[in-house]
Amino acid sequence: MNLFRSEEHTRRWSQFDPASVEGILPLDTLAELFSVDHFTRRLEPDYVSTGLHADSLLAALRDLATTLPFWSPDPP
Amino acid sequence: MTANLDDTFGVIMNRMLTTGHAPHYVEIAAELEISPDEGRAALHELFAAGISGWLFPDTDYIASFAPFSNLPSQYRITIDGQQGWFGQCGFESLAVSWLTPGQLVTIDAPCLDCGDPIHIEMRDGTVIGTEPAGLVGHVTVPFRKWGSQLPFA
Repeated sequence: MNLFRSEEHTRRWSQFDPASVEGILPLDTLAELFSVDHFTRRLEPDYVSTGLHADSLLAALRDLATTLPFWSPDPP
Repeated sequence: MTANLDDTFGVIMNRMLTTGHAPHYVEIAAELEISPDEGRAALHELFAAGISGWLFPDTDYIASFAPFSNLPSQYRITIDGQQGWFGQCGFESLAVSWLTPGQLVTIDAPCLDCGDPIHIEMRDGTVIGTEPAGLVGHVTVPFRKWGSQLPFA
């Protein structure tokens, strides 16, 4: 999970796999994805026992996967 | 005596956040007021619970504990002007600012394609500046496979 200066730089990367083209996201989209409870509530004292708030991440990924199936958390 | 997973998580997270380094299990045990063996057991139990992190293979050493890396990575994190942290990956680096309310968090990394710099400034989860504009993130592995290939995703 890496950052690049642009999509063009990502595609030029020597290890880029064309099958992962849907794995390219604009920074703002990534920042929004990484703003759900799974990421924002890590300092809360019951973070682990609440299941890491994984439901928030799964919901965000399912939403993203409606246009980019690469991001689906569910089996194909 | 068995350590609570929440408490073990909290000890590690707080240490990573305040120092940039993960504690050894003996230090975890001391903070939880349990024996070293119980601390080691607590460490392994926590990582077996599916948190976003991993131990260095076949050791008791914490290698990664999201959003941080306990090993140097290319994602250098600066909090309130102090560079002392490394991001687990480019994506998790974006989540660091949620742990530091009100503080400026910067992420500096080289682009893997060209080596030229990437600079991101964030506060409270919001990107407030980048250099250059138009940055992107990329992951090679589909999300449903992250669990088995997280260090390589």
